Amino acid sequence: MSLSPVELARLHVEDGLMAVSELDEESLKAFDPDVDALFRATVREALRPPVSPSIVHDVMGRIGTVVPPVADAVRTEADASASVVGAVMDRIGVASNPGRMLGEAIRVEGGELDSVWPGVAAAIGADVGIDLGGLLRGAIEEESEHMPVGWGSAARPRWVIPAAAGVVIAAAAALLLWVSSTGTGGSSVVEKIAEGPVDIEALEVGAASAVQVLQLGEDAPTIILIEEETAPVDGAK
Amino acid sequence: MTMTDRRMGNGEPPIADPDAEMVQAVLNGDAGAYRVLVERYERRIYHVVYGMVRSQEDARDLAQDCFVKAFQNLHRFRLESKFYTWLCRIAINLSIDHLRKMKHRSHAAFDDARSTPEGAQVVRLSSRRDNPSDNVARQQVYSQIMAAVDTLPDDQKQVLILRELEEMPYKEISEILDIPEGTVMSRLYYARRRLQELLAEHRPS
Repeated sequence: MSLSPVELARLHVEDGLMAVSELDEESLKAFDPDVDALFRATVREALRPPVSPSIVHDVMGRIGTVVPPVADAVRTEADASASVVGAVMDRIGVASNPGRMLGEAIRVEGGELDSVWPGVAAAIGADVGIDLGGLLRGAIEEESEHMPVGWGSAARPRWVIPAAAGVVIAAAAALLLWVSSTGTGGSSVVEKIAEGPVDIEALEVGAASAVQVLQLGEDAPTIILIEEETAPVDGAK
Repeated sequence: MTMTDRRMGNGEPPIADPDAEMVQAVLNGDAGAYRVLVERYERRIYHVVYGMVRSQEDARDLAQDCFVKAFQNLHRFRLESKFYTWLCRIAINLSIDHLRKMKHRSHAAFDDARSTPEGAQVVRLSSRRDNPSDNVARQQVYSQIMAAVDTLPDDQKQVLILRELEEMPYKEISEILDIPEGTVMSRLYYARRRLQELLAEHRPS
């Protein structure tokens, strides 16, 4: 059943294969292109299915080929690349260290942390540009009385102690040892012995006496207090 | 280019099938490549089948059958034609066979599907039109159209669905249905006029 020219023209206008302006008078009298266009649009809308379910999984299951989705494929590919790392490390003789790798991973993930010192310095009122290492070294040297020694120096400095001072210190120490070994009142025994030269010509005390040797300055006289058990006695020089 | 040239496709270079590579991959043993083809055409095939049988459940099953059958017979597919054209032919044939077996249920199932609250068609209409009375009127028109489509001869219905749902050119429809282009045009023309007549009969005065 073939179409007449007017029918063919109407069909082509409906399907957008011919413009309305191309229609002749006979065709324009035979039909209304606007009504046809509206009708066609309504039919197309009515024919459209309510939903479009996905059937791909069912189809692939039925043909016996369950292919992982694209995301799974990507993950699989990623795993393969990870194994390449292990192979390379083995080839270059570096055993893979899970702990180290984890640590590196954490460091990478955590990123670089800015120094906390500026904040601390501001809090304690210190200078941000201060040389902490230098300060620490200086404190240690001062406490230990260390004299830095350079390579190639002639000789280490020696501590020189005068012989007379050594005799005096030795005598004082012997006196203190003797006194403490013979004393009985522990609470009132020597409380302080100042440093400095001590010149003791003769000293006799009882076995139950307590002796205190004092020197309140480098040039101050040495005071020796002797406390008898029976009666308090002021010291004598 | 004249109108006839546009219609017939004269003077235009042949369009290469974008699916040829994937089809060849499947034929070479890569069954996974078939997934790409299914994903590409599942929606369109479902529309065609649904247009024919108008039952969501049946359309889903038939669309699956279509892809499974195509996979099983892919070695018979000639790359001279488009894969989708070949696929669509399978879908149409399956739908025709199904309608022959299940003639009695197509219209009733369609009405049931469209009357359900889940019917996306109703939702779609509601979202587009704020006036409830317009929605009801539109829904009635659609129901009448579909009832009229059901009264069309199968050959006219096939052409109408392929043209209106898929916007296929006459030539491609002729390849799918294996009929001359002139026959495609005449079936389409008379299908539309028949629908207009049927709807005019139901149009309220």
